[in-house]
Amino acid sequence: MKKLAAGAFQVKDGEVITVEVKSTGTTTLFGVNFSIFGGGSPLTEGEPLEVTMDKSKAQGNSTVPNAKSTPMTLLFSFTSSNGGKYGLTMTGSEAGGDTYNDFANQAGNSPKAITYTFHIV
Amino acid sequence: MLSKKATSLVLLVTLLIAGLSTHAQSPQANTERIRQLREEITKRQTAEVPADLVELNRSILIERRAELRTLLKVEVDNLRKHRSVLGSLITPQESQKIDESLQTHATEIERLGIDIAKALEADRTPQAKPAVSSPTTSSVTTSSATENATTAPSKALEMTAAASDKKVNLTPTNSGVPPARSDVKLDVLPPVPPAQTNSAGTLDCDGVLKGTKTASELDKIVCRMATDIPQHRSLGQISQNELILANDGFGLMEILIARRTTPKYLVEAEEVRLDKQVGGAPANTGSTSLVLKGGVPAILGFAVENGGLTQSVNGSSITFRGNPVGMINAFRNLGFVTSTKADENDPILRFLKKTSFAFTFNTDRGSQPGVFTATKQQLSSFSTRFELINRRQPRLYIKDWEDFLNTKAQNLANVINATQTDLIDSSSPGNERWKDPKMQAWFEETQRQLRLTPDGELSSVLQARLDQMPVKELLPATVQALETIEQALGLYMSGRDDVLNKINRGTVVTFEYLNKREVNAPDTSTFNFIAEKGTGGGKVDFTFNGSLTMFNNLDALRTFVRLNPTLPPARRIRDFQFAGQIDVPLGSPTEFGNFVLFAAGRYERLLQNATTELGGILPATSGDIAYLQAGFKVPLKGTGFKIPVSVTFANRSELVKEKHVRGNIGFTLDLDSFFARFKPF
Repeated sequence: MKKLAAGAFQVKDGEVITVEVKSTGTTTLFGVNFSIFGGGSPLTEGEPLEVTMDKSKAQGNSTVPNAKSTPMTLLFSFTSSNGGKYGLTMTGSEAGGDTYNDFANQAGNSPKAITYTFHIV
Repeated sequence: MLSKKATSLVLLVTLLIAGLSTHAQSPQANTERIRQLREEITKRQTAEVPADLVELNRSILIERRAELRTLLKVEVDNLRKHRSVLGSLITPQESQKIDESLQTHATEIERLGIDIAKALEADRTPQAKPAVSSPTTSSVTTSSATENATTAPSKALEMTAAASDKKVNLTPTNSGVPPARSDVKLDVLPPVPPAQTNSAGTLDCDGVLKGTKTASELDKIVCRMATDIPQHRSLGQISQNELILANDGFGLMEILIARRTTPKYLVEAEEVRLDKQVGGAPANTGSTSLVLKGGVPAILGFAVENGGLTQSVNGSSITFRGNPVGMINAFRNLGFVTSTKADENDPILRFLKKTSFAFTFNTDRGSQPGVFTATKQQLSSFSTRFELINRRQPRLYIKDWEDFLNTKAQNLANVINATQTDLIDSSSPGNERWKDPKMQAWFEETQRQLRLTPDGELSSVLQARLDQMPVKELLPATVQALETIEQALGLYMSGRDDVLNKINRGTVVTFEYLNKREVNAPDTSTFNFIAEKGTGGGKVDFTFNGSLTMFNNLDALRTFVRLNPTLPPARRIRDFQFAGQIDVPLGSPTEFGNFVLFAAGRYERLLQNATTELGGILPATSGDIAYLQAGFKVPLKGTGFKIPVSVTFANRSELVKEKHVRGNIGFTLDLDSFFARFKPF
């Protein structure tokens, strides 16, 4: 996985992206959902999310040569009234790739959504 | 001697006048003054200053730099306003010129700030000539005080607002500042971290995100965006202040939805709910201001400030509540307790988490009535509580939460993912764009302004830009995508509310021991069972109390009985009581908030004749006492007014055996809600 810009990554077809999420702020029931390629599910606390990039399922255009793009959304929910925070780390299975760190801060009752774009070559 | 509130008001008016006078100068006068200041600063920096004038020269340089910095910030504001006013009429040349000027001013502002900090540091070092009483030192002190005064009024207002939320900060009054001098310039010190700034007319994002300020979801989203930007920079995701569509895109969509269709869950200001949170919190009533002295009160204030205790005030009584684990954590966070994180499964820790304590001081007692000294004389009661049952812990509702995540939360995630490509073109990494041309134009301009904005002013720039959102000029495809998201978001919010309401309505049973210390009457111990449960689909709340009160010491009573042989002998148990209350929130008519209908009843069996405050016993006063109360609370939604109305019937009181019926009507005003009502998006 190679970081191209904030929230945009170049990955290889078949590469496995691993996302580890931890609750780091005010105590909250763990609530993280992911969605990609038309499906998804809630994450289990303590277990990393593994997603295999499939170019045949990507439908978006890309200016990266020979790539197709696809979004992946992570939705972060909080039961706390304020101060909730999740930290995440994302890596790819290809050797020598980048590690991407990010966070999701709570703002009231509404969830936080982050949508990354993967350019699959 | 002015009261604290009056002093704060005077400071606020003084600063406002100073600020207005600064802003009221014409642009030409500003430019001329800037030129003069630059010239003077250059001369003072390069001149060979005689030894006995060095310190005075340094002090004057600080003032001139501060004034220049303020005027440059005014110039920056004027340039931004000019661009905003012209809008699409601005030419590329004008825009470029404005960008260049903004960049130049920003660089100079930063440099001036560093120079000022260095000069102040030079004043504080031992090598600096001692000048305890010199004008230089006093002006620096006053300047600092002015900077503090810039924040002191807002802190004072925050304390006043906090008092209306029934909590008062015990910060000692010596943290206050002397009145601002009219000849002292604003903005002496370098930029302070965003959490400490609170310029007039902008959101107090620190208070908003901590939940201490009334704010709508919209305000919270804006504040989160503003406070996230520096964090993204620190992670290396961006090199300058700007939004990231991957992280902030959904927030912008929520803001668009809020401004288009104003759904309740996004735009209604949520009142600060200090009396009811997941896990419960003590209810507080009333507020007052007190003079604080050192010693034990300072320690208590320290504990309150650092989260070890909470404090509430009712008339002349101050109550501190705490939890042993909370106290330990507070001191651990301060570094006083160095230990690894406590094992959450430790049985002792689990036991301590269920306990809490409280002690109340009556400031009317003691050698200095009205002064809080926290002496044994003023201690009027102490209590301890233990949770026997607590069904309001979120971890007990994991199944409900998982059901919510699997359904409504997952639906929202899928919808956001699916509509992403309808709204945003992400084909070019690093150049993600809104597909809607009006949104893209707005976004580009917002990014340009944010890149020139220091961290402390991000929220104000964002707020200003949100006013320019092209809400009514969106393409039909954009509107459709937003409507799809809005529908899914509405389901998400109601689903989340359902889970949290279920948690908050769980059964709680608590045992409390209360020791009440009287001045003349005998001290008493009360053993109290408190049970609370939500019923009726989570809408109805029922509370039940059962208590038994005993005299701690019968000596005084026995002495009184000896002197009054007609009275029966004094016995240990004073009374037992049962009480219940039911609260029913009713639907909300359009112009009003939620009505709450309540009914309460209490039965007391006074086993002994009643005792007076002076320690005497009133004969023939034992017996049964019954109270019935019914009423309703009418909040005027968004105005901050609440009108409680109730009627109480009692067959007698403890001291007087006569029936009475009493009606009560009143009103309370929460200023935060009042101002939130008239605040634009």
